[in-house]
Amino acid sequence: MNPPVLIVLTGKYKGKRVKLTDAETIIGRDESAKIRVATQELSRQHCLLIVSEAGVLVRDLGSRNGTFINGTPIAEETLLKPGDTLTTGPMTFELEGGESPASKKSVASTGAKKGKFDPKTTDDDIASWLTDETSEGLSASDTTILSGKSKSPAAPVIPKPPKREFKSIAEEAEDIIRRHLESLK
Amino acid sequence: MADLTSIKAIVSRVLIVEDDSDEITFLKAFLERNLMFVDVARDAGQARAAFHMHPPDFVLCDGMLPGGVSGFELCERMKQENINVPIIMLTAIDMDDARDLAKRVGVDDYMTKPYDPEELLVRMGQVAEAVWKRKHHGDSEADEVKISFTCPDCQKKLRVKGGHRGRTLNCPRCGQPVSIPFHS
Repeated sequence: MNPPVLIVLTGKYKGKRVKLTDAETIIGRDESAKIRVATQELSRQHCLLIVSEAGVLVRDLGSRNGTFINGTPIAEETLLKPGDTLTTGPMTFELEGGESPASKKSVASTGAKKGKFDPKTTDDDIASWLTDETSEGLSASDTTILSGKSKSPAAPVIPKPPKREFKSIAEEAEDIIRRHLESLK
Repeated sequence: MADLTSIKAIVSRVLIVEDDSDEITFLKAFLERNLMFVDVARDAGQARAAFHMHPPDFVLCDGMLPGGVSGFELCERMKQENINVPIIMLTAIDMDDARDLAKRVGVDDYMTKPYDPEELLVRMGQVAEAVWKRKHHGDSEADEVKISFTCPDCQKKLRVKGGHRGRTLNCPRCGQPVSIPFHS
């Protein structure tokens, strides 16, 4: 069975895929957290994700600012189903395997929009996401550091434009950074 | 826990080039806990000054920097100044073009954020060891590799041994100085 995958929907890591390879994964700002989000908006150990056959169970670990599933705060252990969103502080994730972006309801709490990347999707899908409105201003400190071996595969978020000739490294770097920033919008 | 023998032996001073305060705080504390002395530069100007005044044993450089000079250009300049200082680019840019450019400017390894700190440490050790061996034992492999590039002024096609990468030559046709790239 493939491990469940969370897709980052907000911040500068939007589009990243995080595999939940362990039976239990903690999200928080503590260094021991497997998914580390370096912001004061998160508790040190904010919530726990438990991988089960039914899906991913989410348990809030007494966090100060709460854990939200589909914009609703959870009081007890709650099942995160494919397509559901999980919000902790400034970060919103989606459990992979949900409905198409067009039929999916928007995430209310952060105003985040779809940033899902799936290698099987078509360019049209990607282009439609790029025309979505950008998310509201997020904390500049939404740095996520993942521990363990759950690194997401190298995958461009936008389709490659035709190769351009550049006069200098500076020009080429500027173009790469511009395309990267556009992919975050 | 990763085997830190090689990195402890080779790397004692690390220059972090990063503008995100949270990232700096975390990375600095993490490296210091692993017995490294850390300098921090928040843009390319500070980085070049630090690189020149307190030559580091290792550089961790962000790709996007404030002030108009990117991490890619900065890495190219640092490698031109001293090719034997290993550099890992730590960036949120997850694009093949960015990896390719980083390689061409001489970056020794490329990691995307978010990253696993323990993996970073392991890769720092691997890169430091590879660069150390290249410096002290010579890069016999590099001389077997040929670098092909064109003169930016007269477009003459040039081809030199890999061991010359990072150096400057005068174009045999137009006489203009040309920096030899790190990769074709």
